[in-house]
Amino acid sequence: MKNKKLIITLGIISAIIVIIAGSLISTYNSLNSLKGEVEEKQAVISAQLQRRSDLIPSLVNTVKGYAAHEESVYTAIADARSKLMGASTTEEMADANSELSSALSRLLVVVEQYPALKANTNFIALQDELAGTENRITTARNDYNKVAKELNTKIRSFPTNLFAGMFGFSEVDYFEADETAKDAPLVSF
Amino acid sequence: MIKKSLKILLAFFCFAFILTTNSGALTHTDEFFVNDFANIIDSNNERAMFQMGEYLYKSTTAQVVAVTIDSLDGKDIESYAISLAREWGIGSEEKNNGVLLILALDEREVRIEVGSGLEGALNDAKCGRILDTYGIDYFKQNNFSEGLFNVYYSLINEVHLEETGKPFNEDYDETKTESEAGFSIMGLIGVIVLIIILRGFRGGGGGGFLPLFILSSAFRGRGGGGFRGGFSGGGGGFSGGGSGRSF
Repeated sequence: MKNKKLIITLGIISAIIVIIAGSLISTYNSLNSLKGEVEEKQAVISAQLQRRSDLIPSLVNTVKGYAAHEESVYTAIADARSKLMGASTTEEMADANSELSSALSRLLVVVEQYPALKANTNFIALQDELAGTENRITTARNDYNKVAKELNTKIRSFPTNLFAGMFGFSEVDYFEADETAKDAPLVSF
Repeated sequence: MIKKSLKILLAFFCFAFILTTNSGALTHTDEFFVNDFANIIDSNNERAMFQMGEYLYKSTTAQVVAVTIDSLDGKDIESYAISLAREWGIGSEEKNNGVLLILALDEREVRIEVGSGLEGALNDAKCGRILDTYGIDYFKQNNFSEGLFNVYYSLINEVHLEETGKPFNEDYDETKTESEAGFSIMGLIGVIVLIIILRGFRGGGGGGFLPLFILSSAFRGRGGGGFRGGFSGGGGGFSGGGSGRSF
């Protein structure tokens, strides 16, 4: 009699342990796979930012061929560019990227004053490449933010939130687009 | 009694099939390669574009899809284009060799969206050049039909070069396309099978709505009758490459 009860109790306890262990394992695995996706998308962003950075010198040189004296603009671009190359965290990358966008829009203001430059096929090609890269950055950023949100939501949800810290998972930053970068500061003489 | 419920059941499945292919904001037409929602491409160009697109797809799995819309409804064309390309799964799954050409009438913007598998052959600068060389002048004069046809052909050619190493017109023979015949073999076989099945229930009596419905879909022109909704390559690997212009 007693043995039967003991066996049943032990059976129930082991079943509970198996269930808990099972769900812990699956939680860990899904967090891990989401984290992997996040890192993958982050790598895409980095690659596109790098590509943008690489395109800049050719673009600037083409413009310099027509407007050699716009030093402040070229300096702003060079500064933003080195900041971008030195960025490591998501936040640093987002900030540097915004700064570069800002500097580039100043460059485009300059370009507007030189119709010959605007019609230059080399310049048009470079502009297309740059615009394409920027579009890729936007796409990569949106894709990244989407998975980042999935991961963060999961980390915050119950009962995953109890174990996430234990497993070493923390919420990740979103890649913000700095809205203020859209206002191009006017070039003053 | 059995005949009636079978009729209803079959009609339901046809209806349900049509419904399930309508997911998302915009669904492509049966003619997957040309979707002229803004009605600005004349029928000759449309047919020619479709045949080229279909031929390219069948010989290389690459898909070049043209879309015209009246308005972007406040969205920007870049995000509209990439959502559409991803949702429709343009291009094959393994190679992501899809291209979307989209023109928005109200906003007067056009964009070429390139799948990740073709970004080498159709880089951003080249897409811009294609639009400038073959499209912009026509678009500015509101001759969308010619402009889109030219750009489309150019894209088909570039993709064909990339996939096979040869220009498109070396391979493409208009007279060989099955659309000329006006029906597809698949559709015909399907009809025969269905008639045989139905015969079993009917006991030889003809007529009725259902056989006519199936017959008409099999004999639809453009060769799409045999595999409606089956064009999507399963691709959709787009990362934002391409170029656009406003006119």
